[in-house]
Amino acid sequence: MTAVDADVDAPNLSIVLGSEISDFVEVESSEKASIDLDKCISCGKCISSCEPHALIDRGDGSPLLMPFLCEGCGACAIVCPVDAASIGRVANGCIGTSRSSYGFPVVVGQLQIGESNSGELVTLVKSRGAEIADRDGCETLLVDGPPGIGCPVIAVLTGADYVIAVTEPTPIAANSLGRLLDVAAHFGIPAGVVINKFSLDQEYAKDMENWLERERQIPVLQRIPMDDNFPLSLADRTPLPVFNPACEGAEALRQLSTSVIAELSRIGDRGGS
Amino acid sequence: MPSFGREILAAFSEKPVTTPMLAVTGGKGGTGKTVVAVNLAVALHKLGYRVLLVDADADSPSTRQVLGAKPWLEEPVMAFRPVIASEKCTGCGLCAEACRAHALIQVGGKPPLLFEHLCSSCKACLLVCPVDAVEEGSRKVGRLLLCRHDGVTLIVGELRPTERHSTAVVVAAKERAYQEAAANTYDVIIVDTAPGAHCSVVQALRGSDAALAVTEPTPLGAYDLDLILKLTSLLGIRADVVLNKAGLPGGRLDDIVEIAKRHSASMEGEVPFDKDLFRCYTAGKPVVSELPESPPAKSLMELAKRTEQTIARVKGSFPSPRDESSTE
Repeated sequence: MTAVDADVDAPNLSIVLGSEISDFVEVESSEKASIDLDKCISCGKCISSCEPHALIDRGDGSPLLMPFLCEGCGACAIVCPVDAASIGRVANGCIGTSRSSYGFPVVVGQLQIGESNSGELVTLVKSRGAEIADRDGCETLLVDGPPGIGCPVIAVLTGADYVIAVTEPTPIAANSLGRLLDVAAHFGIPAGVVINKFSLDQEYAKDMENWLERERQIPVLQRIPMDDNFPLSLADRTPLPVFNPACEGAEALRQLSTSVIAELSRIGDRGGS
Repeated sequence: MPSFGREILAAFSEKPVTTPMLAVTGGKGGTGKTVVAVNLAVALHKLGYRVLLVDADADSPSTRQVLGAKPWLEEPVMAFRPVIASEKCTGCGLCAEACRAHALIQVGGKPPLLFEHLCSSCKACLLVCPVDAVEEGSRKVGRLLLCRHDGVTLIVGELRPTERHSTAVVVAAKERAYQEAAANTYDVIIVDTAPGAHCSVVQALRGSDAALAVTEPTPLGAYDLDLILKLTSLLGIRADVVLNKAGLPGGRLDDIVEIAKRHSASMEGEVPFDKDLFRCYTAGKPVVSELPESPPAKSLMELAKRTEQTIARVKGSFPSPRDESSTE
């Protein structure tokens, strides 16, 4: 297995694994406008064409670019009558690799703070992960994605064979879970659910399980109980099954890995891939 | 780390209303951003403030559920999509070339095909077409929900599942909030942002006068807090820290305090790790109204009192809150 942290704007996988990444390399997976004010004739056309409002009128019709809002769409360069606006590739993050102390490779993407185009960076991190997996003969690429359903999440889901959706037994988490399952279903990706912090509200957790089974036909892969060993293992930067193999949480995680392997072989048989 | 000139930061801090705006932001996965934002809103209402709350976590908005509010109005968020008038199209291919999202694909000399889910609504295709064959169409990318509950007006921006452009929904929710703040008087706007430090968070922070970064006493909380405080300082926004889940087993308060200190952020509040808080959260009842005597409610009320000072600092001379709104 190769592990990929594709939650690029706040990658946490190597913290949980306790591994250090030293070989971060800058990548240019974003484009941005730049304005040559020497050529600018202050016509204001670029300002009114900028949909994300990244160009602001300096007061005389010439534009001020707020780089962190620019999405690099190129509308300004199209409308500029004197070629003062141009689009160029810019560095928006970095990618690093390491081998965890448990033997498997880890690939991490880190978005530059406040940068856009996290989806492009996610795609790059995943393909770097796939290269390493190929090189090392890994069977599985395990990709840790960001929360939500927007651009970087869709980039994580693209090309995935299976989605493990992690939730909690609360109405709020159930609502977000439903939205994520809608997106997975839209892209035709089979999914299974992990109910974390199961013991917070067992009754509601059971309602969720019934809902998943009846309304969504989605299997619950594992219930994971609340266990003080979780925050303790996190503080120790050691994954729970190693930190305290005998505890309840560790046992649940081992069962989860068995369920995931079973699901992967089930969809593999069905898909014939 | 890059830094931006004063001119850029001044433009970023501008907003079309004078109402003080406070962003509640934070790290990934249940650090308690929304619980803090909602309870802060209700607590400030109890102190006599007219509060406008904006849920700008368009991917996973949950403010409405935590507040227990039902929407009274729903408005669609529409975005541009190109409609190709094939009778006008000459098949020149300029639009497909201009489309950096690769949503328009041209095969041979035929009119381009649109892959709508990739379209970022930038209108480059419309601008570049020499024969006006790209016409203005629209599609629904999300919705806004307007609610009023517990004395708080709430505007929620919700991305439509399968759409990817969260920032468009954040911008729409903020614009709707400015419209509401211009039409009715509010003492403060509170914006609940998405977690993390990406572009949708930046759009949510735009125009904010101050921010609260909510974190938890874990290595993940510490790492994310450092990122977020770097982001707010990059954007020229004063941010202070709220520690949620204080007293979590193995929790290391020292690390959080150290990071706050490094960024000259003050520790504005500590919310205990508490069963009552969780019960209120799942029941959709803000703990400050439901269990006002509980430890988490008391600490959130304390936070609201400190926030009054932030509001006053932002406003310079803040108008005195109405007296009648503190009794219901």
